[in-house]
Amino acid sequence: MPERVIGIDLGTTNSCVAVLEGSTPTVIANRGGYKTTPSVVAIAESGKRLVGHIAKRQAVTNAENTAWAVKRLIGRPWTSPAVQAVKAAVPYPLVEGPHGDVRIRLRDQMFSVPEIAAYVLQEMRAIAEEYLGKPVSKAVVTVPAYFNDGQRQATKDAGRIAGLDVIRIINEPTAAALAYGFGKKVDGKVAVFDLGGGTFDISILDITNGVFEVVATAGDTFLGGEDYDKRLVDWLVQGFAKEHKVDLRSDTMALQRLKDAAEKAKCDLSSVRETEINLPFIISTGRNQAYHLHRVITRSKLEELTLDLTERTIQICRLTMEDAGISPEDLTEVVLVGGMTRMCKVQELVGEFFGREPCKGVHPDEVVAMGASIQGAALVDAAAAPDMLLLDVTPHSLGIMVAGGHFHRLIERNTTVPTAKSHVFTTVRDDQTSVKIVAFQGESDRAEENELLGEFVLSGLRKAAKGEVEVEVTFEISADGIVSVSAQDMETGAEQSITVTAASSLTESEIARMASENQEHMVAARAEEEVEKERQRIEKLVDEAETLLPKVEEILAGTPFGEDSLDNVRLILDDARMAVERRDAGGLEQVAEPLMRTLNMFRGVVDSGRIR
Amino acid sequence: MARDVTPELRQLVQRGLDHHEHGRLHDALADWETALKLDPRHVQAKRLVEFGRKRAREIDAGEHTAPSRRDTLESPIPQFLAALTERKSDKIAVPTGPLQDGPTPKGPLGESPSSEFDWGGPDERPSARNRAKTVNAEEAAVPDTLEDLPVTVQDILASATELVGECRAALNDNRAAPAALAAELAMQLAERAPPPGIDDLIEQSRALFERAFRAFAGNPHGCPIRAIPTATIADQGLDERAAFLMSRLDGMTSIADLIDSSGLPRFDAMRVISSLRRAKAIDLLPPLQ
Repeated sequence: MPERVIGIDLGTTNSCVAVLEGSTPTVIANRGGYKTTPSVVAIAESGKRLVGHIAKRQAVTNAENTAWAVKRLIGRPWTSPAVQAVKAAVPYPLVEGPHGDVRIRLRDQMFSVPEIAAYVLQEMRAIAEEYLGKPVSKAVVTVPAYFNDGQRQATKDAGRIAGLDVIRIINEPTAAALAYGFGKKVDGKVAVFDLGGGTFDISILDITNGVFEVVATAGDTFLGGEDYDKRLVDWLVQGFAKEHKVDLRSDTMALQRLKDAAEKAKCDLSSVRETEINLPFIISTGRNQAYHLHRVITRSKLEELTLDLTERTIQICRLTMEDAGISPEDLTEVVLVGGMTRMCKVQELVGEFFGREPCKGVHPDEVVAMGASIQGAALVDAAAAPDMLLLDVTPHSLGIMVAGGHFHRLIERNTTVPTAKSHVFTTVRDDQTSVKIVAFQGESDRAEENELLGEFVLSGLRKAAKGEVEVEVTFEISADGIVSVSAQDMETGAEQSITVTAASSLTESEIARMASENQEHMVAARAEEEVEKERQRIEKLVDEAETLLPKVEEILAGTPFGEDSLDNVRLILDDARMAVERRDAGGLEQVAEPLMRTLNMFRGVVDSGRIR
Repeated sequence: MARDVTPELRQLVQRGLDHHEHGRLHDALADWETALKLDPRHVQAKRLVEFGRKRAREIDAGEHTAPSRRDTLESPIPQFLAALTERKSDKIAVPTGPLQDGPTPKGPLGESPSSEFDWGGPDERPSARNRAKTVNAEEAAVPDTLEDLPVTVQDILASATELVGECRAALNDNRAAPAALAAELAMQLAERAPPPGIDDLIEQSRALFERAFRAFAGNPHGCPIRAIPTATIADQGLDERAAFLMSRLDGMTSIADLIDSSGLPRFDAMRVISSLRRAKAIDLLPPLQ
């Protein structure tokens, strides 16, 4: 049986992992029983790396050392407006990296964005490994449809740092559509409405014969469930201030509890009409005079507090559809994705706008990972997903700058990938011995208005009149959407090429170093776990021996066995207790055997005492 | 797709935890058992059911860990500190009268008959009987600072030194409860009205105190749940930091993780957990396997 491939939805606020079991995608719960894990990484005061729920639970009280929503940063250059917007919105410090990329400082350690993402991927991998009971090394990871090449590459880099071979990157709406069985059962235009914890995306897919074309995609990377939580927190804070004249925002512990409770209440209100928020002793007034927060919130109140947020998603849908020249009647299906689409008001407004009941699975926050797992299984084992022809398309046009600053497209947007296109260009000046290839992606006819992918120079051309020397330029997009560009001198065969890595990505050696550091960290953490297991084992033995000791002393009193031997045994127990308390790996190893002998002797003495 | 049992399951687990902290073990166990039926693989429900059944058996069997001589403080609580701690709003979770089985106090420690207080094993069922004695708010006015008491700087330093010594001796003797209590009292001395010179002493002893708090807090990989309602802990002299830590407890988060995810300085978090243990505000589930 080929190796299992896991599907990972690496989300802005939560991540999810699934694997195909037989023909059913199974979402894997973490140790806490949750099927999604917060995409949050923190460094605790002890230096310990925290990932997932534990990191999220201290995100307010340890805000400066907690990185969250790094997906908004991945693969983006420092100077991009998105990075500057994140910088203004998060309490953890962002600094410019050595390649014009973004670095995050947590407790005086610098991390690249792919490293932080890697820790989340690693956590998802660990969850899958625990469930499957064997190591996992291959994954399909999803990204938003609008992610450009640099962002996709950075996501793959994150996989490598986590020790995962990301065998394919696929678009989130495509994965969601796959999970719903589209491509096999449904052809036509499908709208994927994805309202997650931190971002909103609307994508229109055109599915024909197993080819998934992203016809239109738009969204808001700063609109999601957390904004709904914030409204609820504001409401609670204001109510409390009115009642007690105390500002809960002044206390990070109170604020952390409020955030946790608001999120829980919001989730509860998707299934019940009314819920209680009960936070005993949330704050005190200096002298331990306890204030308790207790409020009841109804579903309609929550809807009222957040109506403009929900309406904003619909507004974005309307604009996107208009831009793409698609009307709701053109759609075959509307699919809901993301935990926030559990909210009744969201479902209601989406239904109204699209004029049809949206498809909603039981778990809208799990469908993307499920789709990724289906794709993963199909990639390594065609038999696992028969009839599945899964092709994604490139979301942007790709080309180079030509004379006059124009953009010459080689690959049109929505071309199915993988693909390769070539075009022959000629020199534009007499005696021109080199050409500079400047690659862009985007839709503008002015090259500079598009996004720069990279540039290189092909030199050593024969001196000749302009237009005489021919250079063939080839763009290639792999199935993951990773772009490479090459230029070949048609006369000499000399060639130059680049794999497009955005200015913000990491170098090979950096990725290798980060991967090895990460590996070392994991080995050390595992060793620590082993010591802890042994400590617990020894502690149990010591407890048992200490419980038996008085009885042993009583039985042996006055026998030839004598005090000396008992003293010796007591020393062994003292040493063992000391090693347990100090968590001393060497000490634990040393005492293990004598302790076991002592305990066996004790058991024997007590048993023989009973027999007599 | 199958019916989503997650919200129902979570509500049952949560309601069980609420029952448990209000002392309704059988109701708690019933909820946890129902939750486990919904998802027999649910780790949290499974652990809580195991805990609840074990606790119920202990109660049925009338098992009770008698307070041990080993768990009492050798020396009395300094009179002036006891006086300070009697004020309701500043109370700490310590006995306000002579300690059970302890040697005769050097001076009168107040009249309240709190000799029922004990320092039983960490896994004991909390009960009204063995919780820290609390003092009525309307009791006689007590001084705010040490300056209001007939006590000299030398007295305070001598007491602090004695407490540090007691903490060390108790730790060496594997008696975590008195070690942590001595450390707590010494910290209180340093915080309430620090005379010159005490900072150095406390600073030098921080590592020792942290060990004492850690030892008393219990297995760092054990996972606590609330054993009393959070709303009542102010009566035990605990503050909102303790309430915050209590709000994080779910029987799945270990003490070590609780400290790491508290955002509090390590020493403070350890000290608060130690106080929660002393106030019997938490029960400890075994480590996650």
